[in-house]
Amino acid sequence: MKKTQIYRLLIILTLLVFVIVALAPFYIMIVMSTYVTEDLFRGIVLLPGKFGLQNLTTILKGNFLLYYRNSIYIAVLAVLGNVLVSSMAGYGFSKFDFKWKKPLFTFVLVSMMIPTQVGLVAFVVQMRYLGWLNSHLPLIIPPMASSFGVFWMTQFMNGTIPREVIESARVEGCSEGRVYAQIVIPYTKPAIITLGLLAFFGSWNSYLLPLVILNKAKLYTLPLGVSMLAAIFRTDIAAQIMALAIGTIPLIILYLAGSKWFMRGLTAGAVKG
Amino acid sequence: VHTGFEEEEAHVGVQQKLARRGYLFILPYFALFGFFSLFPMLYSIYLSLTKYNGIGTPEFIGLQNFARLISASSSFFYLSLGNIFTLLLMYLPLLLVLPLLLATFINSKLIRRKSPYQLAIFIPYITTPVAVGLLFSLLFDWTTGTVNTALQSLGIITTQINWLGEPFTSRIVVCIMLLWKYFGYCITFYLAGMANIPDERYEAADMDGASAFQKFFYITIPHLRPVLTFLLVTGIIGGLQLFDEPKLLFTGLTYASVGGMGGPKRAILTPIWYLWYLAFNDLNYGFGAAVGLGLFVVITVIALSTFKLVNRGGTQGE
Repeated sequence: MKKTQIYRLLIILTLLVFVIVALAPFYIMIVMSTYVTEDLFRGIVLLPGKFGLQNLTTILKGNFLLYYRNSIYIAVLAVLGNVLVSSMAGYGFSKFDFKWKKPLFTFVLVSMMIPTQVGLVAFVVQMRYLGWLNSHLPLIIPPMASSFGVFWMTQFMNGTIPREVIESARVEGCSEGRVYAQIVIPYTKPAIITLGLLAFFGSWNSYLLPLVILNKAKLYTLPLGVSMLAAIFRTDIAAQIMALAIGTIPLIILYLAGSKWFMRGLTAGAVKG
Repeated sequence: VHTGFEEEEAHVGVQQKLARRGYLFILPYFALFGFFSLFPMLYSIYLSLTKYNGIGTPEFIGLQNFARLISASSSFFYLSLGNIFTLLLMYLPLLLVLPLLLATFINSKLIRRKSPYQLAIFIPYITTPVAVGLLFSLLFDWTTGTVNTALQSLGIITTQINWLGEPFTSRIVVCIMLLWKYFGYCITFYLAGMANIPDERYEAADMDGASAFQKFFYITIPHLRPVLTFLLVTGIIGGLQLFDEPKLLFTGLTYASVGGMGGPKRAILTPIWYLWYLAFNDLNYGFGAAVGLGLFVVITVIALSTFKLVNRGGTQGE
């Protein structure tokens, strides 16, 4: 065997070890969800058991479907709003000239670094004044203003949409709204997919915000619902693991479907400093 | 009758109209951000000067909350910051170095199909923190967890380790959890940075007879400087905002300390966990807001000084 082939084998083996490390907890989660709770504690389970369907029935009888529906509709609305607001701002910053453009864009850049969580207490008080506690609005409307989204859309539009195309459309009497909807949006599709995926993951995985905003069980999102179940009823662990496994599946499907765009968007900005 | 003057005026008019439309397009973002992010931060300053239980009217008490915040004996603020720095020292170096090596492996010319590795290794990052926290609490359970069972059957340990019951071991579990979650994320950034390094650099080095190590240290690392800076700064900022994973580890499926705060001896109490507990368990909104502002100051100072420190070494590769 040649030296390079040995190197190649070693590298592949190392990478495979890390692939296994990355995926093992998922495998364990899925396998565990097919046992009854008592069996989970008798030793390590490596192969799927026979109780998957039974656990599925258990969680479907509870509030699980409600949590699932809440999470989906919150994430979809938050994503649509985020993409709309960000692409509008991106269009504004990349294709118009106005006096305060530079300082306002600097503000967007700085605000990407500000940890908004530190204002959480005041945010909750504000939501109480608005009457938005125990509603899904705080999980849908505020995340629509995404500084990363604005930055990402502006960068993308700067690089891809030729100014002449927009100017000639304007000369031909296209309204700004039509230019935005019929020229800007189609050109921006890859960036929209990236941002949409990131926003979806953010909304779906969010835990702290639902935790402080919602305290009615029927309003819970999936992560909150499952964590509350875990804290209150410790009996049917296998069924809860089933709930977690099913809650993770949509993320993985979306991720695999959009991974090409997603990776590029995630690293935008960091690479060039 | 046309004069040049009118045309110029018309042009200025168009420019003004376009500028106004520009403002209209960026307005929704600024309105939402101002109202839902900027305003709460400013409102925090007011709340931090009051005694407030979330109902009724806040009572102005001056700087009392801040006096309590900076006194080590009457608040857990320093303790929670100390916990974070301990955790950061434990996992951040490993999190910056290990993915760099793995990214070099994936990027190696010997590997033809790179994306399957990258895709698989990234998946932990998108997993719901609730699932991660609960799953790890189950895996590291004292008596029934998979980890203890595996270590025992391999003969590595004889008595079961009470992972989540001791300060040091519970910190290790948090570190393992964070390393597992973020190593694919860091690899992705390194790979994106590596894709930006021109091939000619390596070809020139090959012609000069440089070894793989020399190429790594003299070409790859300097070019990855912006990525490293980004991961370091966001790693520290993210660390200071830890909440979901440690909190959920102790809301676990089998662990008995529900309602407790910060794990054994508060060894993994984080500032955000503390803030959350103060405001929403103790109903001490004023002090909770003060902790938030204290954390804001710490994060700003650390982020700025890390940037300065890292950028002092020059601007190679940018």
